[in-house]
Amino acid sequence: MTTASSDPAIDLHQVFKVYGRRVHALQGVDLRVNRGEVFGLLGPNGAGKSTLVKIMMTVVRPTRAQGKILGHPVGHKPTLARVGYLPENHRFPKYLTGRQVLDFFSALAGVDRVTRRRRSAEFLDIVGMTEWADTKISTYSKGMLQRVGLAQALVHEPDLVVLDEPTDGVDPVGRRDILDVLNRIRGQGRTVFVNSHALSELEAICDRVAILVKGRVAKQGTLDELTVAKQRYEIEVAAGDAGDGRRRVRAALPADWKESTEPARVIPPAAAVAPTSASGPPPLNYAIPAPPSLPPRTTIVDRGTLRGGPPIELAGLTLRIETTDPQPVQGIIDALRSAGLMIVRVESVRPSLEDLFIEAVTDPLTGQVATPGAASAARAGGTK
Amino acid sequence: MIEQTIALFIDAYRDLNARKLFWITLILSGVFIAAFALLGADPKGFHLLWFHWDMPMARYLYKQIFSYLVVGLWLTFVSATLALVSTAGIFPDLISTGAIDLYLSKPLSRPRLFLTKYMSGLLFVTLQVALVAVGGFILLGVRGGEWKPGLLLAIPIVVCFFSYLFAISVFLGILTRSSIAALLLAVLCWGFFWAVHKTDQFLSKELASQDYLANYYRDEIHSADARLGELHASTRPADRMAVVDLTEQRASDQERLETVEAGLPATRRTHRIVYAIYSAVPKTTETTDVLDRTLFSNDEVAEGDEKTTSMFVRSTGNRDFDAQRNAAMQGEAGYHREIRGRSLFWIIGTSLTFEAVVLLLAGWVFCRRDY
Repeated sequence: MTTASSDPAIDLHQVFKVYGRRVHALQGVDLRVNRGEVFGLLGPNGAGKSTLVKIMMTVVRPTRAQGKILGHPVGHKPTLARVGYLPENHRFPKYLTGRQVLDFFSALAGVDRVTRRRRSAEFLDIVGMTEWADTKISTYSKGMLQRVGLAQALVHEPDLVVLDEPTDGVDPVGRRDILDVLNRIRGQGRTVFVNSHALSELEAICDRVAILVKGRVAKQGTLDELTVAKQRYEIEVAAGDAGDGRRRVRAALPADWKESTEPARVIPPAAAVAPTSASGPPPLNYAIPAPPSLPPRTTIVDRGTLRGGPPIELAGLTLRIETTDPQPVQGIIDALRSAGLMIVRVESVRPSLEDLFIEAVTDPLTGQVATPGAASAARAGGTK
Repeated sequence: MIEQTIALFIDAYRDLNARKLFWITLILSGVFIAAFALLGADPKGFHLLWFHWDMPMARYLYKQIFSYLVVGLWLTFVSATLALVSTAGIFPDLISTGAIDLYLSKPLSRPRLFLTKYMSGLLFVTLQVALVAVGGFILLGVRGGEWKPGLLLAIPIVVCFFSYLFAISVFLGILTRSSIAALLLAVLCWGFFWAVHKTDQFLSKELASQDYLANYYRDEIHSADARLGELHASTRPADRMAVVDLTEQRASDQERLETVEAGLPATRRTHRIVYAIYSAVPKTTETTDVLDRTLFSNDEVAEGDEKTTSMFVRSTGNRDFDAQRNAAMQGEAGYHREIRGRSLFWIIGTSLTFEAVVLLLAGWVFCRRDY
């Protein structure tokens, strides 16, 4: 049960980390994770996700950080007894068995011997590793290691579980099992903080997400909060000549069109042509660069505002109405039909987490996706 | 807190248990002790299996051989080298990405993790030395006829000696993150400490020897002067000839004395510098030699030196050669006296101070670093 209380599980303010004076990994991160929720942290490679997680887990020392974890300042060691952590690319001692891994690391978390023995068996069973419990982990596959790693993060029954790429290298069945376990933890009222690239999985389990770009939180909130502003209607018309069709659409609508003086945006060829319903809704953010195998195409996006209504865009033969209200859409449909245009698709589109992610990492002016890596000293100040 | 410490020690044991080298070294130690047990000593002489041969001071020599082979060679060289090889990877493995995260994310402070890991690293050599020390104690009692509980001091002494090298290995392992680099550089440091020790040893002996020679020539000159005084008063022709010979000999002795005295300040100066360096670095050899103090009393050593001198020193009739040889023997005996006169605080205390400084540096790097 998510509780947006005054006592959040994680409440970070102005977290900075500079490596060697030049690499600005984190540039003032503010993050809040409520108790009992599953929180997802996303970001491109080098955005600072792992650094942020490591600062929370005291593996990396922040240059500057304020805030609390489970009510105690960041870096407060005793609090870590209430935190479970599965690092990315973890390396357990090869000479241990799965059971010994759980026993050893829960002992380091301060769990007594009798409880350790009981819980080790219990959590190995939860992650489906009972059969392999007494086998050396040097013989385990990546997926099995992830399962044991997850059990290791949970065995001391922490209030907060921090997982860095928990499904990395795990087969689909294993992924489903891990997600089940996470749901189960949430059901027990624990807080889960997941750092992952698997956007579809995060979308399935996260209550709230934050997107980190170049050391700053670009977006943060519930999926509804983040997507509601981006929800829109799309109306696609058919015309023999695309240019003529666009002119007719513009003429039919009671809108004030702005001739775009902004730079043309890069859009993938697939999105530039009229999508079919079979291929699913086009992404909200159409600034995805074309795949390297295809030549990039650009298009001028006509923008405008319906008189007394929401902003609209005309890209190709697709009209996008930036509203969640179906009322103004009715008038547009009528106007288009009156102009003799054939409507082939009307759809209410809600952006996916992937759309949000891509939008967050794309420069709105150039349409370029952020390059991987942290901000260097020279460009640290200009990113946002 | 106790749970965590016990867990880290159990983990260290599991780590050792998984290393083949640990068991190979342990078995080799057992074989070495068993092989040494074939040799025995009684007041009359040595016996090997059913053979027996008479030898004066057999028990003393038996202890000397034991000290040289079991303590000097096996424990402080072979076993220590194998222990360094086995433990060089402990810290580089601990701080490798993906492993250190698991430790640091636990409610365990970095200094405590560092110190506990360091202490648990000494477990290897403790177990090895314990086996050899207990085996050696029984061996020396049964086969050498001397029950020396002090031999069990080998456990703390050798662990202490190894800890100097392990501290360096840990520091280098944390700095370089490489087991191989840590091992090679630690062995290089060990070689440097040994070289400093040998230089100090050589200069100490040289000083004692030169002091002996200077005193010897002074005495000779004094007695020549006294004899010349008597001879000058004599009018016998034979005495006149003796005066000529004695004057020549006195001049020669004077020249040698001046040569020795001219060299002494430089030797003393060099020794002071080397001694200062030696005081600052771990005294690996002297630390393990401390065990000899429990094996041999001062009287035994003095008696041994005396007997060795009397056994091997015979006048050759060549005055200068005899003087040089006697000086060398005196240098050796003088060095033994000096070594045994050096305080435990100086030997172990200064070494532990060095170790503490290295550990502080290693701990500081370990605790400050981002992983």
